[in-house]
Amino acid sequence: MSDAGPSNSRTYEVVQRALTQRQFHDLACILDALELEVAGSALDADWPYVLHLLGHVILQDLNSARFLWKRIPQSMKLSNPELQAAWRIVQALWQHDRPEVHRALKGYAWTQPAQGLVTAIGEEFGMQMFKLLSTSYSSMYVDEAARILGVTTAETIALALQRGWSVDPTSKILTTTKSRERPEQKTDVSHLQNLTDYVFQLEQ
Amino acid sequence: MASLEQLLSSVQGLHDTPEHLETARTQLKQAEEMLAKSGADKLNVALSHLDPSRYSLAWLFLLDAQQGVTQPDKADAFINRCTAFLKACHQDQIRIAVEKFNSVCFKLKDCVLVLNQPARGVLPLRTAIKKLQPTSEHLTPQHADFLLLVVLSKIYNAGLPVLAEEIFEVDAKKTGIAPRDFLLYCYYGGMVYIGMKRFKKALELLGHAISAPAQVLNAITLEAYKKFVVVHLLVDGQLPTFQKYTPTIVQKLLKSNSQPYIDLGNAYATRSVGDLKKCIQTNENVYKTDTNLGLVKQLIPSLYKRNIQRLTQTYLTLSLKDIAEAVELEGPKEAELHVLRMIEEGEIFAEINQKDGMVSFREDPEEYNSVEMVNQLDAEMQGMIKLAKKVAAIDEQVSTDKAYLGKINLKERHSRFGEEDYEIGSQRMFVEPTY
Amino acid sequence: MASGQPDANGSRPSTSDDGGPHFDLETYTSNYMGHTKIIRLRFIAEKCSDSAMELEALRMALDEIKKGDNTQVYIETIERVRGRLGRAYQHDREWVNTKEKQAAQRQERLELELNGYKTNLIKESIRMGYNDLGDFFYARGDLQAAFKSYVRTRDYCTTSKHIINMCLNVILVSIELGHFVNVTNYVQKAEQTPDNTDPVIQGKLKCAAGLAHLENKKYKLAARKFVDVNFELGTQYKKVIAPQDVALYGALCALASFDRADLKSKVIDNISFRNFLELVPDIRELINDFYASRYASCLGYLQKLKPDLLLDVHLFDHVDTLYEQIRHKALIQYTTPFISVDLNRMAASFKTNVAGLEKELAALIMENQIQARIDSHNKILYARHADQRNTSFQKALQVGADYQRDTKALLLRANLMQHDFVVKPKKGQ
Repeated sequence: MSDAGPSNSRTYEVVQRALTQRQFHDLACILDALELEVAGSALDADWPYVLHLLGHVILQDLNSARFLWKRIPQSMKLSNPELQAAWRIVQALWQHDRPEVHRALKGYAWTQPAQGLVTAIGEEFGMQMFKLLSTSYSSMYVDEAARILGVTTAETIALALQRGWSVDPTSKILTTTKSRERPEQKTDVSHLQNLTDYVFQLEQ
Repeated sequence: MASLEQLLSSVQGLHDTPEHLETARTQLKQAEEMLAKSGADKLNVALSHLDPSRYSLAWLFLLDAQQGVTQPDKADAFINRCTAFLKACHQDQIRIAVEKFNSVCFKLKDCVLVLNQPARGVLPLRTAIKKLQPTSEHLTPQHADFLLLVVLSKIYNAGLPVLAEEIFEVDAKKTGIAPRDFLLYCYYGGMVYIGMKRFKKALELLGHAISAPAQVLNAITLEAYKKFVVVHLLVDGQLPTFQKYTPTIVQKLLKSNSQPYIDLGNAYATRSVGDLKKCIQTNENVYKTDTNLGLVKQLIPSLYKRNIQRLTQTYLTLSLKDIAEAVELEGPKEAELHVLRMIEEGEIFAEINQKDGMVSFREDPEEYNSVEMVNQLDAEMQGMIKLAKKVAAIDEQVSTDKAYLGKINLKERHSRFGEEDYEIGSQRMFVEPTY
Repeated sequence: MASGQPDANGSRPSTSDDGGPHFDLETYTSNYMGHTKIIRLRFIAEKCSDSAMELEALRMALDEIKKGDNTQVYIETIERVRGRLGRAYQHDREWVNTKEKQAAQRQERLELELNGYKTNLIKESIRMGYNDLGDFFYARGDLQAAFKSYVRTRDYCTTSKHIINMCLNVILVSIELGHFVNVTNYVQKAEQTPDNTDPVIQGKLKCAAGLAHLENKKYKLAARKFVDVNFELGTQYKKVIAPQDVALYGALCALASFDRADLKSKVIDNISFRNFLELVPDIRELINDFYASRYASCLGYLQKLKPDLLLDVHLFDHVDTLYEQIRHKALIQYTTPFISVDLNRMAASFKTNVAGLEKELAALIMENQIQARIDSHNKILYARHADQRNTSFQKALQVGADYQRDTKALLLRANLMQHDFVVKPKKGQ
């Protein structure tokens, strides 16, 4: 990114702003739009592919990530190890290989600003995995949980106890407790108004 | 015959009132032969002195008069000129020269294909659609080309905003659209949705191509049908039936020309992954040639899912080992991964008990009382009301349209089409939403 | 009761406990006469695994064959004996030659007579002539020719009795030919004939119709016909079916296809059919057990009967389907009244193991025949009551989405029609 040419300056600016304001979720959209605008004006080598790819990942839009990968020139894919590392994340997510996702996230010395994005992805993915475990399992082995959460067994146990789960020290089995999130159930006035409209409509 | 300079000064002397624009168009039209002989350099020089937003009509004629623009050495310049023009042009002016406009857009598409830079045409054609469309419900000839470029450039998500604008008007007088453009729009649109795994939307679009009024089977329709069958299996688990107004000849020829896909449906219906794999293997070359192999292969995980879903309707608890056996998976570990993935994607409601190697299946926890659900119901109702209003408006318009009524009479006499073709104008209109 | 009424005991082969057939062929075949006796004996010889029984059946078949004129079936049967029955059952060429010679002469005479009637245009004589010819061909085993001759009598029938007679002849031949479409057609013709009031003839027609439905795997229709046969028929349709068969075919088809209410009203409380059932006490018990939910006993009887049923010329290829359907009905009926069912106990009732039962139940649940879910972990089946409210919501959303989609498609279509947007052949094609 540092050697972005003048034609590329606008890209750089908008992207930079999104990054500094940590608006990672806007990144893919911004880059998608810019890509269409600059299409064909030969800036392939300068394009922030890593950020673009990770931008899709954080939105969990793996389809778009896959299509982006398909349009990256072969030479770029081969010469950019960070791009390859980002692609490994997409692949692991695509295959639902959760331990591999953690390895892919942690297994590369990311440069700035990709590092910030990867950290954010890691945090969101970790939370998602914790939620997945608590909804999908009534009991599970500590080391399996650790692999899915991407942390050590000791950390897993600590995390579990903190959530009020129980851990059997001999069998190494976690028993989850359900924290029921009750969805909001209030009815506000606008809904009643809508209802009136519908009845009116049906009477016509 | 007037010279290029004379023509331009005359055109520049006109205002953009409808009468003046008409005069300009007549003058430009009369000068077409002269323009064609003028040579690209001369025309380009002229264009560089002409404001594309003020003199869009003249721009169009001059652009279209350029010969050989799709040759590789000239394509790049033409693309740039078109891109700038489409951005700047005035819609009132281009809409009175639809044919020219379509011709220019068509050449633009050819140029990006010649240079193998489909992405360059995406944005300009999206702009072109907007400029030509009288309303967002009108289909233009640019729709199909735009979607084609989206598919070729693999920027699938760029196709979604355009596809999101639903089409109800296919009016050749206003947009110069032809039946083929409509079929291609449905086909490429279907491909985009398939790429983005929005299968239900893909079915809608591909379905339009299949049921379109026709006297013959078009090759596009056949390809659309092949994809339609596979996607229908993914969404619904069974082979599709034809919409009742699908032309009989089309139904017959589609069925007889897509046996490997019908086989696929029959194999899928056995619920045996083994049978399905065998069928895919047998016809692999057909699917590959049709460029549907990737789509077809998605049927395998889909069948696993469907079989597991059936189990959730049957069991309250079932061991991972038995799940694996019931759905032909290798073993408990693989079954667990499948179940976990389905829970994650909200396809089943279940809980895995690793201690006993059991899975407990639950009912859908949705109680239809959350704010989120109320909002969803609300949106559905709003959509319904909007649609009902639209139907009423069209009913009004149609029942007073002499040409249409005349056509109905004529066709009823010839009975070329079934009655249901016109249902929309009669009883269907008054059906209340079934709530 | 008429003298033609059957004996209550021992007319149906009693079954052994070793699971194999234990046929008293003598008693069994005494229920039949004519072709069906030979056919059934030959069928038993072909299907049974016991060579002593096979030879006995062939011997009895040959004795019966020699009473008639069918030399073809004689030769075929002798070949199947392969000399295993000693000198008395060697190929009797002299008998064959004599029979053939007689037959040739008889055929010539009958045809000559018929031609005479035809030239004189005596309607009744022509009918009789064709009828005699039909009888002749039937006796010789030339069923196609017999069929044609009997059908020809149709044009010369002058009374309802003639028509019914013609129909019965055609039905007899058609059953033997396995042409059950014709059976159904001619049963209908006979039933539509005026003066068709004789309960015996009605019984014959119902039996024939029942057999046709059975062959077509229409078990419910077959059951309806068999349970409707008047007991007065007795043994008077021996050429086709024994009264024990009416009970057996009717009962099995009814168990497989009737719901509980029909089983009670049309079978158990049916006085006429009960008389038939008295002839086969095992079957009667079977039905009572089923209705009283004594499934273990019921299935026990069925198991015991199976080897014999497999030797029945009409039933054998329906046995597995009928048994499966009866078992499914029993499983469904067992689970219906309960909120929860202990699978261990249920498995014992159905003489199976829990794993097997689970699979059977799962299949029925998936086919929506049982509304329940299996707790495979604790081996309990729980009845399932769909939540009406949630189902309504789900349905409403689905219907709404479908409506919107379909309406949009129709709007687009209307627009295509309005603009005459039709895919046409390319120019020059």
